[in-house]
Amino acid sequence: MKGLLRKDFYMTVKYCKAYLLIVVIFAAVSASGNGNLFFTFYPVLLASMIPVTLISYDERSKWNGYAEALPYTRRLLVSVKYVMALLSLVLSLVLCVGVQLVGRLYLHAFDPAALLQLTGTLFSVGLLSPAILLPVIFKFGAEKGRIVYYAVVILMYIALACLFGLFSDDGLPLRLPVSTGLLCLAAGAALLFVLSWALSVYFYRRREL
Amino acid sequence: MNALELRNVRKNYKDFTLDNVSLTLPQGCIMGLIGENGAGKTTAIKLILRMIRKDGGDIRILGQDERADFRAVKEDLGVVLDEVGLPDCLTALQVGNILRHTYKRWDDRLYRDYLRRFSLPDNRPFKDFSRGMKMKLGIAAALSHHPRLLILDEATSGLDPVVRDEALEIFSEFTREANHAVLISSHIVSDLEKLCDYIAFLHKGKLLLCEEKDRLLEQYGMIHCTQEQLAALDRAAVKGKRTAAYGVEAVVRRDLLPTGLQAGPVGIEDLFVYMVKEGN
Repeated sequence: MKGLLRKDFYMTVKYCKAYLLIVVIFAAVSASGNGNLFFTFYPVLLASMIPVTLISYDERSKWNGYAEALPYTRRLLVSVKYVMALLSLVLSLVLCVGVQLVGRLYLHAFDPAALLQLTGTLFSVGLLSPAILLPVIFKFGAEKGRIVYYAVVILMYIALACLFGLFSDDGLPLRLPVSTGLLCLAAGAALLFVLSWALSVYFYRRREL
Repeated sequence: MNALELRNVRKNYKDFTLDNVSLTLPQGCIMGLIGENGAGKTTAIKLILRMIRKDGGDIRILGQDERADFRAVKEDLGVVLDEVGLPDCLTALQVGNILRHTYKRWDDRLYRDYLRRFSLPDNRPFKDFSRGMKMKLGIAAALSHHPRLLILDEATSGLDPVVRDEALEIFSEFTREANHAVLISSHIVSDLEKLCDYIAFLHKGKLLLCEEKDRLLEQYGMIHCTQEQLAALDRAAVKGKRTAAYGVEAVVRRDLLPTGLQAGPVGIEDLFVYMVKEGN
């Protein structure tokens, strides 16, 4: 898988520079403590879409055909995109939560439970979008999957708006019981992510290139 | 051991069928898969590489059937497709870095030698390469892990004559090793006529013939005669004909000609064109 990861790394650096810049800027804005959680969530959502962008470029360059000639299985070709999704998510999470931490410490508003809750929610949201999108794209290809992509983005925004409704006026998350709601959300998202991977492998093995 | 064997391989699409194709490529040889656009050359190659599923038949690659670990088989394959398939943003150096972590027998020195030989820049992105340069990079990448079987799908089409000649020379060099073989598809018959030991004709999904090139050239010939002379011949002898004002040109089987009637030489391109027209 090292070769495939290397390839996706080169492509991410080349094609997703703008994403990375947005992630950094939004993370910085979110740390200013203006209470608007959109700036916190958006970079994570954006970073988790990087594998979808990579698949688009792969298809455009006919990489999929070439990759079939390389000593990789289709399972591995699918798995690398999920690994990229996780890596992008973890990096954006570290950045966003890191600046939140610094910001809240600076504003003397540090609350470990709230930060943990934010991290869990961001993690779940970040897993959900690739989990929903990738099987569709592995079945139909990036072009046809694009329609689903937009539908998912809109749905995610609606879901985010609903989530914002759960937050208090001061921009800090309400204290839902960490042990139940948050864990259920994170575990559900992780389970969905694993199921999504299995479904993508199933679809891609059957796809004719 | 044969490098490649296809037995009654079939693939059905709504508007096209690759119909029971059987061919054998011995080691140490080059086979040219000739056919017009849409004849089924790419479909055959996709089936060999398992990019699509077959609807029937068997394929053995380097003696391995479909139960073998295909990842291990692919370590011995070098493939160049019509669209090379490398991402536009990658440079030749980055391609080397990726493939070094992909193939067990990747040979960096050999890859760099090919880059030098082909005068390919190290750090220019693939999208800025000309068609010929892209193909040369594809060939360098396909050869640098010491494959035993090269599969080339229209790898010479769209190249200028000098680059094409260079590529053909490399493929020819490759088969100097007794356990190497090349399957090359093209609709540029002149390239394959120069290069190949075996020729397979595909037309509308059917294999018209698969034979040693020298045997084909011995077996078939061209005659120039009148309509009446042609009509007097055994029908099985005539593989294709073209009628003109001054008479008839026909591709014939020499062994079925009556004594005294001599056939001149026929090229592979004429043989293919006449057979296809007769088939239509």
